[in-house]
Amino acid sequence: MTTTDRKLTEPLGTVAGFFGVLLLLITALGVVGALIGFGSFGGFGRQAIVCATQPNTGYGGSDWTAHLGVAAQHGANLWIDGTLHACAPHPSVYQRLMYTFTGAPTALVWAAILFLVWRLVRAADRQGPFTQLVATRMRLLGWVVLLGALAATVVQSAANAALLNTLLKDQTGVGDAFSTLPRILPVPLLVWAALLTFARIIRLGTAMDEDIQGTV
Amino acid sequence: MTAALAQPGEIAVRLDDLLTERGMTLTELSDRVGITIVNLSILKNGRARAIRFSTLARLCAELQCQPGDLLRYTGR
Repeated sequence: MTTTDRKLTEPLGTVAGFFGVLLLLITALGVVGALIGFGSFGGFGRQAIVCATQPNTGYGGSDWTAHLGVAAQHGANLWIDGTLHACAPHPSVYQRLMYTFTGAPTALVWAAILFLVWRLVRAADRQGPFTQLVATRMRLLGWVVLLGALAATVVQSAANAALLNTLLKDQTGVGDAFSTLPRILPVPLLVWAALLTFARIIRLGTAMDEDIQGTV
Repeated sequence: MTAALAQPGEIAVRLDDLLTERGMTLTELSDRVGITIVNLSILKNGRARAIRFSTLARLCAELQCQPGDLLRYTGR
C-alpha cells in the first residue's frame, strides 16, 4: 500500500479512532468508578444522584416553585435556572434505570456509528474506495445514523418523562416522547441523504474502476 | 419501437501469433516496450477490458505491425 492510499481515508480514520478510544475510556472509568464507589455509571453507583430536566419549558425568573405551580415529590429536590431541574439524592432502582435510559441510547448509537465508520475505513483501506463493500457499508452507516438518532431521541425523551413523573407532583410540561424529533431531525436526515448519495456514486465508480483496472 | 440489439462478438488480441511469427518471447517484448509482463499477459490472454493508444503504438512499433494486425473481431 502506498502513502497516498493510506491518506485516502484520513482524517476520518484518525477522528473515528480518537472518539472510539474516548468513548471506551469514559465507559471504563464510569464502570470502575461505580464499582469502587467513587462515581456513578448511568444512574448506578453508590454516589449516583439522579436528575431530570423539564423539556420544552422555560422560566423567566428564579422565583420559587410554589409560584410556578410545580412541586417536588417526597425525597426529590427542585431548582430553576431558566429551566426546571428535579433531582433524587436517594433514587429508587426504577429512577436509576430511567436515568440510565436518558443517556445510554445516544452512547449506544455513537458506539454503533464509530464501529461502522471503522469498518468502512478498513474496507476502503484494504480493497480500495471503489468497491461494492464500501458502498454497502456506507449505506448501512447512513441508515444507522438516521434511525439510531430518531430511536435514541424517542427513548431518551420517554425515559426523561417517566423520570420526571416520579420527581414532580403534578406532571406539568413532561411532553410527549416525539416532541423533540423535529429539532434533532435535520442533521441526521442530511447525513443519511449524503451517505446514501455517496454510496450510489461509489457504486457507479466501481464499474469505472473495474474498467480502469482492466486497461493495459 | 427499437429492435433489440444483437450481442456483439469479441475483440481478440493476436499477440501470441505475432510473437511466434517474430520469434520473440513475452519477456523480451516486455523489456523492449516497457510494459510489465503482467499487463502483457492480461492482453495476451484476452482479459483486458481496454487498451491505451500509447500501449498499442509501442507494441506496433516493436512488432512492426499495424493495429489491425494485433486486433481481430470475432463475430458470433
